[in-house]
Amino acid sequence: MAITENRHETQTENRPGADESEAPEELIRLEADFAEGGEFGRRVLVVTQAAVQVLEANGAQAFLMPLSEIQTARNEPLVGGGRLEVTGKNGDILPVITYSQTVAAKFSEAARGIEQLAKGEPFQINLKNERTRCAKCQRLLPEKDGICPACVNRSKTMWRIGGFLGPYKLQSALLVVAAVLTTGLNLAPPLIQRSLINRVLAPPPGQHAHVESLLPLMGAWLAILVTAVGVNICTGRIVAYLGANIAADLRSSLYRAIEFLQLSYFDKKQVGAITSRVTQDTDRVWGFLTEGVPYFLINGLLLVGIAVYLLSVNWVLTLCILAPVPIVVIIGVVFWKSVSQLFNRVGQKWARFHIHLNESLSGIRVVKAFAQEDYENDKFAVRNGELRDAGIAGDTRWNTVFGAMSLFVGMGGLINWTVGGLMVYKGQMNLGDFWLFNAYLGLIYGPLQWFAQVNNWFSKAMAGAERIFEVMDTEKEKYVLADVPHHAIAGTVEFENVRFGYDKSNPVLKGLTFTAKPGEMIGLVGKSGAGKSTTINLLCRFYEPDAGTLKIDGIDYTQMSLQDMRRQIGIVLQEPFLFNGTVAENIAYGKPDAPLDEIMEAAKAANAHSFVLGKPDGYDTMVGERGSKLSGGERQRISIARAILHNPRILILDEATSSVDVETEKQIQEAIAHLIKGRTTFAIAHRLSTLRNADRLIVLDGGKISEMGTHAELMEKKGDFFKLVETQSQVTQILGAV
Amino acid sequence: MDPKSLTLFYHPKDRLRLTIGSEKSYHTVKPVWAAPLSRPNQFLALLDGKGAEIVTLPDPNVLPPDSLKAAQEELRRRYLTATVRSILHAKQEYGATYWSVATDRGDRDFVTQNLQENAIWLSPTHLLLLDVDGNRFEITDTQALDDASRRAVERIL
Repeated sequence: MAITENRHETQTENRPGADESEAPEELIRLEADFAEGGEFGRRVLVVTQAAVQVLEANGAQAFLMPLSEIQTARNEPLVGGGRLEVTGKNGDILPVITYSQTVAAKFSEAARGIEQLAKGEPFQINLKNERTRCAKCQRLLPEKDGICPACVNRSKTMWRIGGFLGPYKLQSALLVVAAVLTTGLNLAPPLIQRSLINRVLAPPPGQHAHVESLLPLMGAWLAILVTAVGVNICTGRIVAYLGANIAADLRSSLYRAIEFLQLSYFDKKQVGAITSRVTQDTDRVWGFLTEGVPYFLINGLLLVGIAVYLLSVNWVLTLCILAPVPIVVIIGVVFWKSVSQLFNRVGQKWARFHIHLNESLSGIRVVKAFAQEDYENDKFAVRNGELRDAGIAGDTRWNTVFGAMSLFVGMGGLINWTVGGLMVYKGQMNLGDFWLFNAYLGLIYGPLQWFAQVNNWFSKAMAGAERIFEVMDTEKEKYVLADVPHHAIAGTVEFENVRFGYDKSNPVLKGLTFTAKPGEMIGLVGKSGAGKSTTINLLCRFYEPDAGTLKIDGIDYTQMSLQDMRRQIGIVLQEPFLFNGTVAENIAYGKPDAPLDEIMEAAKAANAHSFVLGKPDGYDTMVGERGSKLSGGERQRISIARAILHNPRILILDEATSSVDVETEKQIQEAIAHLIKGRTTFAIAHRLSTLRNADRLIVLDGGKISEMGTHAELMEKKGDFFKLVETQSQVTQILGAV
Repeated sequence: MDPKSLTLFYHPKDRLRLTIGSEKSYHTVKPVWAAPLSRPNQFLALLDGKGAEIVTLPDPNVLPPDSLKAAQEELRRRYLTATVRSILHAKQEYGATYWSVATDRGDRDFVTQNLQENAIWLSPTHLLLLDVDGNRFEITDTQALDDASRRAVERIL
């Protein structure tokens, strides 16, 4: 569906005396993709200064409501789409227009605009024109405003892979030279055999046999054999070196690219699917580079060389024996598509298989605890079976096509013996030339069978490369802004009407405004889903606000260098993540060059020093994968020590004490007390009592601030916070009584 | 709660209301399926304006006929999933799959990516496709499709 609207960022003026006869200016015009009865269709939402209206495809008015009667407007999320709803001044909720998920984000923005107009606020919405179809081929785009995969040409992909050859120019040049040499050396033996036949074994009628030529000819043949072996060894070595290096470079740049992807990418994709890109897809490209490219190069040259030479020897016979070539090529090209699709499917099944395997092994404790080994085994069997079937389907098709092709390949020999044999019989051709044709025939058709295989490699490698480049081309975090100087953060954090939703049509934060002073500790409180973690995600700039600004020291943080900024923000998570390595390495994660005494200082402040010293290997203790060899409280204190050593200006505590027992919590509380000194701190805590030390509490409700103040103030106010505390202490009492 | 005592009706035109016998009335009701994919047409929950459950009916057909009709109308408005009747065209290219389908809501073109995540087999013959925007296309029984459509599914998935 085409969407036609413009970018609106106009400040509307109130024009009480506007001319009534003039048609009111259209502020929003959006096309929805459902008709009134719920079928796919077209309806248009038009918003003017005066009213909200919906027009049917034929222009008839289906809905009209003056702005003056509207109180609020919102996007009501439906399954697979949404509905714009307005609440009238009389409190009635009216559905206005229904649309699919494709345009839901735009309508959500429109709802915001309607509300702004209804409330007389400045009209500021951002409806940019998005392309949903490719301008060139009219295909639907996989991503709005994204690249059209059909119009990204393969030579470009090849070129990009070729770009990875850059650092290895010498080796690449050597490879080409070796390929040319190999071609020449492959062409030589049949020529010698021809001389042998024509001069020694069966000289043409009227000529004598030259037995004395035997030795030099054999000598030449031996020399060629030895040289060919040498060249082959060189080629192999160059290919191994080049292929492995390029694959390694490709993996590194892919990994680098993945690291800088926005978190939203990881929300959408499973880790298994991402790892398979790093392992399998790069492997395919590697396979193609080490096997496909040399074959392509050598055999391509060989084919051209032989064809040209044979044409000069006997063009009639050459054309005859080459006649099946186009058929072989056509079979290869035509069936390649369906075969490659089947192979693609195998790749998909592999990824699914991987995901399941990964998951069931990571969750092995849960599997065992619930005694569900059989259930997991059944699931595994299903995936495994799918993989097997897809593999069979692909290989079956492949072998059928390959088999059919060998018929036409065999034709070449048949034609040569028929036509060529006749020519020899009639004396139009000597036996040596006939032998030459026969020998070269194998050299042509042998590789030709491989050409389809190379094509197969090629398509797999291209698909792999495209998937790799897709990741590389996905929008990255603006990690380093080159022209932005280092900014030493003082610690003021300002949220100015910040709005954000993971799904753009469903905002989680609906206009957050507050300021935290340097060194202040802010407690974020609210029910789950109120927006606490989201606030923190925005603060860390894991996501950026959809609207409004977030300022640090008065600077819009999107204007700051992300790397510089994050280096000055520390975070202690509910489930601390430790990397496989030593305790010291983990504490020094944010500052790898820290000397041990600094690491120990940090550990002391985090109440971790004693327990670390209690371990046989002290600070050299390996923590295991994800820190599995330490207890929850130990991991937490290590992560606090990590944050202390990191010495951030802004500190985030995300439920840092929720997963430990009371005694450990006390120790962690002490550690935290050390940690927060002099830093702007944001803390989320489930146990509200732990936020007693906070300078200020912000109570969130439904993505908005409902209350703000100190613990004592809020308790006195007896508002939302009071209710939360009440509920919690009741729950604690109930739990305590059991 | 006796399901016969539930009266669902639209008033005004676009707002679904509920009265239970003569004792209770809700001026906004939202019907949702508890498990729309695995147990279609069973377990219909009625939620109030705040999203709290009023009642869940394991078999919605026990509702009085008019109420059932009103509920079905509202469900059709809320569940924008299209049921695919036939696949007119499906082509896999460059990592994306382009579909052109005829559905109970009319014809539609869409693109899917990453089929291992976005083609969800709810049973060996029940398929849910999620396009790149999150729109839903459901094939309730792949075996019941016409030959060409079935081949298209088999070719791609």
